[in-house]
Amino acid sequence: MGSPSSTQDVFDVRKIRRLIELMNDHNLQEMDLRQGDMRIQLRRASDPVAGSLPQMQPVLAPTAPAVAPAPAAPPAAAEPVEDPNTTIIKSPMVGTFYAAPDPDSAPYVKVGDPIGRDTVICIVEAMKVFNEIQAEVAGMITAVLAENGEPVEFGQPLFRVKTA
Amino acid sequence: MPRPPRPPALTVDVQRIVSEKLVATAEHHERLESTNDRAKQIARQEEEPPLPLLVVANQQSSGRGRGARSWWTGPQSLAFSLLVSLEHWTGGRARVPVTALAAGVALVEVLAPRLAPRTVGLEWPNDVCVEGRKLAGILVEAPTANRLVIGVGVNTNSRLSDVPAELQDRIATLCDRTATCHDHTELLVGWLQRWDHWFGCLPGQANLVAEAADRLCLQRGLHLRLRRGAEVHEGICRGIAADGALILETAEGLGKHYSGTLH
Repeated sequence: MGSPSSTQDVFDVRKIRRLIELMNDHNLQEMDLRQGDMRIQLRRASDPVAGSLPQMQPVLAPTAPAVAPAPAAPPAAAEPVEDPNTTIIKSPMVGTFYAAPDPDSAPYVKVGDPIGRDTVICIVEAMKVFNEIQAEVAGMITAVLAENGEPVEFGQPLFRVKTA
Repeated sequence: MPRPPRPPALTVDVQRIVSEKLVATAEHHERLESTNDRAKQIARQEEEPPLPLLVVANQQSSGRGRGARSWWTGPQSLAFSLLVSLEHWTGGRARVPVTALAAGVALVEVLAPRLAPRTVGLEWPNDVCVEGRKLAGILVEAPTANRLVIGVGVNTNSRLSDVPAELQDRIATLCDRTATCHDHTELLVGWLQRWDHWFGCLPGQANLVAEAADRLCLQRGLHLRLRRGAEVHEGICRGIAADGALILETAEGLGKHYSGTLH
């Protein structure tokens, strides 16, 4: 649960991208969110082409005419064009992000650190269950994308890693 | 609970626990810094012993909460950690947090009969309390994606006079409340049996664990203040949701919370 957001926030591009990722991760057909008088619906296309990525169709409710509906786009198109050698490590769960094993210790990793697949890179805590998150990818940390001690959502980017 | 046939023993009979097949492997230590750290160390070994694995220590010198909220373990308390596999789980880590509730529910079920008619219950997410004081704490750590360490500390046979002065108004011990000593093996056997039941409900029926935790929740109706990073949420506790989240009713309505520090 976050703090109250402004009504425009629900149409934030990053949030829409995260919603699409959530739909893909959980194989959801449709998502319908409302916040005040704003609404966003995401629905998979009904005639998927074998082998292609699922299509998402954002639908904006008539109560929000000021926001022009975007053309349908596959989730891959929603991702910014990135270096193919870059991987984003995402949070496997909702919780609190900790960069270090305890408040008096140095962070597990920092920008420039080489990491292996088994390297512990952070903790995500939920309900006092401390999940030590392993990189599951080898490379070098190029960005830390979450704040120590702050809440993170499922699928939220935590680190950017250069893999080659 | 049946009375033990001999004077209560503080040293856990790990051979009995293994022979009764409550765990596959058990280690007993006279003294450890942290049973959780030892279990995590084992989890990272290349050759892992059969699981579940129990680590017990007569004395734990630095049992942990996070940071300054460290867990006090008295000289005659019960401290143990259980290392379990999650390899049969599907669907990732999303339901792993409910294991803290499963451990807590099992602990309440074992401790409540010993403390009757007092009310023993859970303070979300990881404390077992009696009469407003903390009796036991749980710290779960996942050292890898498919291993879980459930750390439990129970104030059993320590006396309140052993408790540091700054904690005395917040801690209860089983011995002080019941005026008798309690056998650590019997307590641990009881917990392992109930844990096995509740852990078996996860992850497919995690809602059963959460519902049991909700029935035992001592914070219902209380005004709580939850801090998580820069966020603060204040409201009335409405119990525990089916996914294990704490439900707070604030000015904005009902909200579910998965992490944070309660004040």
